[in-house]
This record gives sequence, C-alpha cells and structure tokens, in this order.
Amino acid sequence: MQIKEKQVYYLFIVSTNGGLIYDKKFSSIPLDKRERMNSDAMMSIASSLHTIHDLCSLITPPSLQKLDKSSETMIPKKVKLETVISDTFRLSCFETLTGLKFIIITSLQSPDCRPLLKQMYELYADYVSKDPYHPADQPIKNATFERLVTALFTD
Amino acid sequence: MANLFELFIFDGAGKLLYYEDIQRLLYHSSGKGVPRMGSQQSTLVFEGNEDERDFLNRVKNIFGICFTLRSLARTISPTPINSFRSFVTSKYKLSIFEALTGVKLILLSAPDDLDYGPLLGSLYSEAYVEFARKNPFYTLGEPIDCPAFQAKLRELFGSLLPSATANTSRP
Repeated sequence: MQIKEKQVYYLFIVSTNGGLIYDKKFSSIPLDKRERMNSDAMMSIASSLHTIHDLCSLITPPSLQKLDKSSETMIPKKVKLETVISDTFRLSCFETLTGLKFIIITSLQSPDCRPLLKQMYELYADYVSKDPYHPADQPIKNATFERLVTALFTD
Repeated sequence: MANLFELFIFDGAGKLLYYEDIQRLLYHSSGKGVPRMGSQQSTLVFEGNEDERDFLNRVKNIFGICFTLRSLARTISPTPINSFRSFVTSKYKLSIFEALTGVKLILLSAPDDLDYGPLLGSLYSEAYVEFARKNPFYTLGEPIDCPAFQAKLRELFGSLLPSATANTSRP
C-alpha cells in the first residue's frame, strides 16, 4: 500500500538503545521549518520518542494493571505507544519484537500507516540487517535501502 | 461509561488540582444524593504509605510525559500548534485539553476511536470554569474540593451513557 508523498512529513527509525539510525524529511514540510530541523533536532526527537515509549507503561490506569496481574499467563504484554494525534499531524509508531521503532509522521488525512511501517521493517530486515557491511545499531548508510524506502511513497 | 478510567486536572506548574476515578464515580457512588468526597480526599490527605507514593509517582509521570510530548508536538508540527490532542497506546488512550491559562485536563480511557476533545472542552467550560474559577471560596492553585464540581462531572460523564442512569438524577 502506498501513501502520497505530500501527506508524509518525517520518517524515523530508532534503534533499541534510543539512537536515531535513519531519518527522512519530506518536501511537504514548509521550507523554514525544514531548515530548522537539522540532524541534532531529529536526534533529540527520536530519543524523546524512545523514552516516552518506555515510560508509557508507567501510567496505565490501576484497573487495567489489576486486570493484567490476574489474567497474565506467561509473558505480560508490554504497553506500546502507537499513535500521537494533534491538530496538524499524526505520529504512528511501530515497535518490533527486538525494540526497534519505526516512526512516521503524516498529515491527518493520510490513511492508516501501520502496513507501511511493516513494509519498511521488511525492507530493513532484508537490506540493512542482512547487509554484511552494516554495523549493528549504527546510522544506516545504504543506498539501496534509501531508494526502496523512497519508492514506498508515490506522488 | 466503561471506556473512561481517570481524570486528572493539573495547573500550569504541574500541581495536581483534581483526580477522579471515573468508574468509581459513575458506578459505585452511595446513590443517596450526597456526592462522595472519598476519591477527592486521596489527593488532599497524604498518609505517606506506599500506595500514595505510587500514586504521586504516577501523577508526576503523567505530567512529565504530557509536557515532553507537548514540546515534541510543537517541534514536529509543520505549522505552529499549541499542543497535541491525544496519544494512544496498546492498553489505554490519553486525551488532553489545555486551556490558555495552562490548566490541563487529562483523561485516560480505553484505546477506542472516540474523540474525547469535546467532552474535555465541556468539562472545562461547564465544570471547571463554573465551579472552580467562578467559585469565590476557591483559591487558585489549590486542589478543587467542591461537591457541586463533582456532581457536575458525574452529570457530564453520565450524559455519555446511552441511557441516563439513576446516579445522575437529583434527589
């Protein structure tokens, strides 16, 4: 499934220890904003999202916590941040089993992004994880991956 | 409404002004027409036991997460905005209404598709403004301790139910 490029603002991939390993700015962001969003800003956004994702489990309502304790069999289900909604954007986050997070920030009119994030995960698994020259948890510098990710978004 | 869990009201500095356990408010009240002060008192009287410490930690975490997400949303947004509206996790949904004065109303609910923005807006204008701000006996920045406020909250939450329950009727 493909999402129009004009509806997407940012893409992030955050590693398991909170570092930013991939980011992408799209042209639908206004120019002044785009210039202010340098790599430092992107890194701090990614780290904040990583932390918030982990802290989400601390504020679950007590009635839900009690439900968990009574019905959990083996592995308690971790609380995961899924969406953040504001007036101008929607942030969707997909966390893999290994703790890698794929985050996309789109406009409110865009369709559901979870299938797209899963596609990105497949691309990551095929072209980054299996890349013998890519050190684990380092920023991705893979041209093929970049090309394929760009191809996920149509005009 | 089985979907709503908790309501928190903070002032701009992060002080908790009001806390309500909505399930208890709607379904377990004494039903004699006298609003209970029970849940309110947990925020006013601190005995120093472990439950209260956990609760206070939780309160601080909620405010901290909302504060961070708010500044994150302002940074990310392509056009200038004031704050985010809600975030959804796999277990719950947190909706926030921030007034221009900095007062934040935070609602924890089930992760459904309903938009609680209008509800929070009416909580602010019909309950908080009327019974807290316009109340001559209420000092700003203090926890809200007003039976009429609680009754109004019960009415506003109860109006979401498909059929009005006995809890919302006056004696």
